[in-house]
This record gives sequence, structure tokens and C-alpha cells, in this order.
Amino acid sequence: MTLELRDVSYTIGGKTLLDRVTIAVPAGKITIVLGPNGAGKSTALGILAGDLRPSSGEALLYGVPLARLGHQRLAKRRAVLTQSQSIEFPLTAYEIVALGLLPHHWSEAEQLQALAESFAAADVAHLAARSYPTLSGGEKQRVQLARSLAQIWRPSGQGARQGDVRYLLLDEPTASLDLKHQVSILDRCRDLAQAGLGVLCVLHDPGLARRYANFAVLMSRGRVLTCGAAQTVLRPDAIAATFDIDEDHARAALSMDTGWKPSAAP
Amino acid sequence: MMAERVIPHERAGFADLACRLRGARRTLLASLTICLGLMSILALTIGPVSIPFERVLAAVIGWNKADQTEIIVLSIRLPRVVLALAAGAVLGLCGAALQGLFRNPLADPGLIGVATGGAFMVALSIVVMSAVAPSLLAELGPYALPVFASLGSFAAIAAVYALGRRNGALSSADMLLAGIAINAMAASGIGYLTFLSTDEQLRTLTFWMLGSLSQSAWEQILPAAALATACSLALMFNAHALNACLLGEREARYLGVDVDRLKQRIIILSGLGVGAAVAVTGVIGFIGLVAPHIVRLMAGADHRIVLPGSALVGALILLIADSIARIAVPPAELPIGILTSAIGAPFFLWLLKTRRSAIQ
Repeated sequence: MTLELRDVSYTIGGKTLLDRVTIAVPAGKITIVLGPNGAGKSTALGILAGDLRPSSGEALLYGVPLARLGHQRLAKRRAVLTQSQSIEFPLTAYEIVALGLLPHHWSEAEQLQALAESFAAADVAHLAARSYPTLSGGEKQRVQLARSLAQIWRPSGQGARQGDVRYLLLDEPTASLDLKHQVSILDRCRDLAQAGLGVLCVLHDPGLARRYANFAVLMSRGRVLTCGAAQTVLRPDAIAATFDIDEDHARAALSMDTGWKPSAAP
Repeated sequence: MMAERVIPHERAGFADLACRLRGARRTLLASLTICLGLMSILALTIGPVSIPFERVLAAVIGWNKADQTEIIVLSIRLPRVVLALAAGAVLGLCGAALQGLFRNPLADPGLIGVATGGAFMVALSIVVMSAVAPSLLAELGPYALPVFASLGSFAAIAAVYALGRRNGALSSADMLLAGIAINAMAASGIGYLTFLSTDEQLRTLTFWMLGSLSQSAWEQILPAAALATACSLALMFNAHALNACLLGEREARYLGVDVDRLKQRIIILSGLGVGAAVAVTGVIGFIGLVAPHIVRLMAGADHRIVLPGSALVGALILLIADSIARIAVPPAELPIGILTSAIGAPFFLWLLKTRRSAIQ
């Protein structure tokens, strides 16, 4: 009972971007995908989001192919935070976040509650009246996060309804954020997972992954190398093999003790 | 899940902000509507013969073409005003919708060849069809030119669209470049047809290329105005989807918008709408580009205000330009394309220079 890729390959223009990939996004857990550039992480996320159609294999939500569900029904069930695109038109942050309400038909009071909670959770309430193009990269990313949160918000009492598991897919959400907001965006993901949502997050930082992941998927060159419970997957040797680095660096990337000390000041 | 983080006054703050944004939208739309109403009345009263307001009102209410004044108001000025409103509105709206769809503030029915495509088909029907298939033209009657112009506009926009596709995704840059090329091709086609045309046909062609509202008898403008208005109304319903498109096509899809359908809809509606307007008025530049920007400068980029606002501003600009065209050099008339471009081009240049502030 998950959102999942089963044996998915994706080929475009004769190039195979994904080769028989199987990934599950279980409800109530954070699944983190790691891998070097060009590993196929974003492609996998695009297929899980229903944007790209697998060339072979299946992308399923509760056993139903995503293509059959259609954009509108998918939009009510999952939100996607992509690497933010520039917007050339003077929309306010408020208007951007309110777009997250588009798939839903909520009462005005519910809409306001959804917006207020989403703005607060993404720590952007103070930016609501600002024009989006004037925000910094990190602020834009957080406003987009608030929009995604608004999309998967539920009126109180409806959150845990049977068969209404929601999913949040994030593509390198920490890329343009300062340390505080990197941690805080992943804290929000943890809150959401604890509330029963399925969270999939593509990350670059194995250290952050180790701290937040329940499940981890290591990808390279369009294939899944290893996947499973985070503590068994995120080991120095596996990270070293995935990113093609030596184990010392892998330990450092995982924020493990490497025995390295800064040299004392002369 | 996050309820404990929200304090009541924050929610009230958002209610306040939502209220303020909505209030600003309503105020702008209301004041534009009032301006348009006043300008329409003014346009009915001024002209080579000045007609006082109460007589205009009496003529419109009585709808009786008894004396000369009433004939001037009902048969000459009123159809022009109606045409200016319908054509200006559809040009402004299509500009707004295309800019939103392409996520490009410089898109405009003129820049991407829609208007020139329509004019080319009109030229073709004036010069070639009248010789080759006069019975078809006679059959279509007053609908002939709107139909041909719509076909031309539609073909141009479809070509731009097809040529702008790269790896299954639309590239705005490709689409605009393709539009410029289509524009050039249509213009050279019009040039060749001009070369072939007789003196009388040449005069008609020149009229198309510069645009004018002077040929507005009721039977000519009603079908075009009706089609333009229908397309305008249908375009209005796409505000939410276009807002989502501002985030990016993929993001719009993630929000449940069927982007491919939306594109088809916008393209068909703007092809038909602009085609209908071009058919009766000829090529009128810059309204489609400038009207949406004026609205965005005043009230932001939300399409719930940009779409109706652009329609009102477009109608207002065309009505003002047409009034100037009528009274500037009586008894002759300035072609309206000269006026909208003369007002629009400097504005466009100013926009280019100050784009940052216009956008932020």
C-alpha cells in the first residue's frame, strides 16, 4: 500500500536514464534517495510524481497505475517540490502559496487555516506580502515548500481517513538553503511522516540523510545499487562505492568520526 | 499536523491580506469599468459633429433613426464603439493569456504572427479568392473575411506552437523565434499579394495592414464582435490554470492542471478571437502586449485580475485611439494602427528599459 516504482525503465532519445528501478515510498516514513549527478534521481522522482511515463515497468499508487489516476486526482494526493524555477511575473508569495489550494475545494476558513499553517511551517509568514521575484533563492525555495505543504494539508479530522495517505516528493530541497532552514525543512518532513504521510526526498548530503532517513536508496547510472533501512544502507563502504570516493571521505560525508582534527593554531 | 504552530492572529493576518488583495482587484476592475463607460459616452458625443449627451442617450434608448443626429449615433458611432470594445478586449485578453501560457512577458498576438497570419489570409481572399472562387466569397457574405482571418491566425499560432516544441517540451525562446519567422513569411506573402493586386485591392490591403474601425456597419461587425466576445468570455475561465502555469509547466501539472489541454484551448480561443478582430479592424498592434503589462503594474500578476483587467484596458486604449483617429484630421481619418503603435511603441521601449521594476 504505497507509492512505488516496479521495475521501471525510462528511455529517451536512445538513452536509458533508468534501468529496472524499484523504489517504494511507504506511508509514515522518510525515504531518501542519494546518488551522484546523472544517477537518475530526478527522473525517478518525475516518474513517481506522474509527470513522466515509464518506458517499461509500472508506477503505482495503491496498485493503480499513475497514468490512470490522472493529474487532478494525483494533485489531491501528493505534492512535489522541484528545484525552484524562476518566475518572471510579479506574484506575491501569498499568491504562490495559495496556488497549493488549487486542487482542493475547501471552505474559506479551511483555506485560511491551510495557508496560515503552511506559511508558519515553512517559516515564511513574514514574506507573505512580498513580491516573489524579489526574494532570495532560499526564501523562494521556502515559499515553494509552503505551497507544497498547503497542497497536502487536510482539514482537521480528515488527516487519517482510510485510503487517504498523502505523499510529499522533494527534489534536492536543501540545495539553496542555509543550515538552519536545511534542518528545518527536514524537521518538517519528519513531522509529516509522523503524521502518516509518505515522504520521498532526493538529497546530496549523506550526513543529513543519515540523520533523517528511515529508508535509503543509493542510485548510480540509472540503477538502484542498494536500498533498505537507512542504518544498514548508509555505511561508508556503500557511500564510497556510490559516489566513487574513498572511505575516509565517505565517513566525513556521513558526518562520522574520521579521526581527523584541525591542526592547532601556531 | 502543524496546528500547534499557528497563533490566531497570524490566521487573521492572512484573512486580512487576502481581503486586501481581493479589495484592490475589485477597486481596479470597478474603476476601469467606470472609465470605459465614461469613455464610451464621450466617444458617442464627440466627432466632426458634436452631439450633446442627452441626445445621445435619447437616441440609444429610443433606437429610432428618425433624424440625422440619431442616424449618426446609432448607425455610425455606436457600432464603432461596440467594435472598439470587443476588439480591444479580445486583443488585450489574448495578450494576457499568451504571456501567461508562454511564461514570457513579451509574448503578444502580434509578435507571434497571429495577427499577420490573419491579415495574410485576408489579403489572399481579397486578391486571389475573389478571382478564383468568387462564389465561395459570395456564399460566406459578411462572414467571409472573419472566417479567413481566423483560419490564418489559427494556422500561424499552430505553426508557432509546433515549431516551438523541442523534445516534447515547449521552449519559449524557440516559439518566439518561430513567431518572428512566421511573421516575416506572412508579411512577405502580403507584400507579394500587394504586388499582384489591382489599385482598388491595394487600397483595401493597405487598410488591413494599418487597421481601422471605420468600416463598421452593424452587419459587418456583429458576427466578428460576437465571436470575439465569446472567445473573451471563454478565456476568462482559465485564470486559475494560467496562474499555475506561471510556476512552470511541470509544476502546473503537479497541481492537477491538464497543461496540454490548456494550451490547446488558449491557442484555439486566441486564434479565433484575434482572427475575428483582425478580420474587421485589420492589424492593430501593441494592445495585446501593453494592456496586460499596465494591469500587472497596477495590480500584480494574478490572472484573476490580469485577464479581466487586460480586456478592460485593451478596450479603453482602442476606444481612445479610435476617438483620436476620428477627430484628429477631419474629415479624413488616421489609420488606428498608427495611433496604437505610436502610443504603444514608446511604452514598450520604456517597459524594456525598466523591465526589472515592472516585474518586481
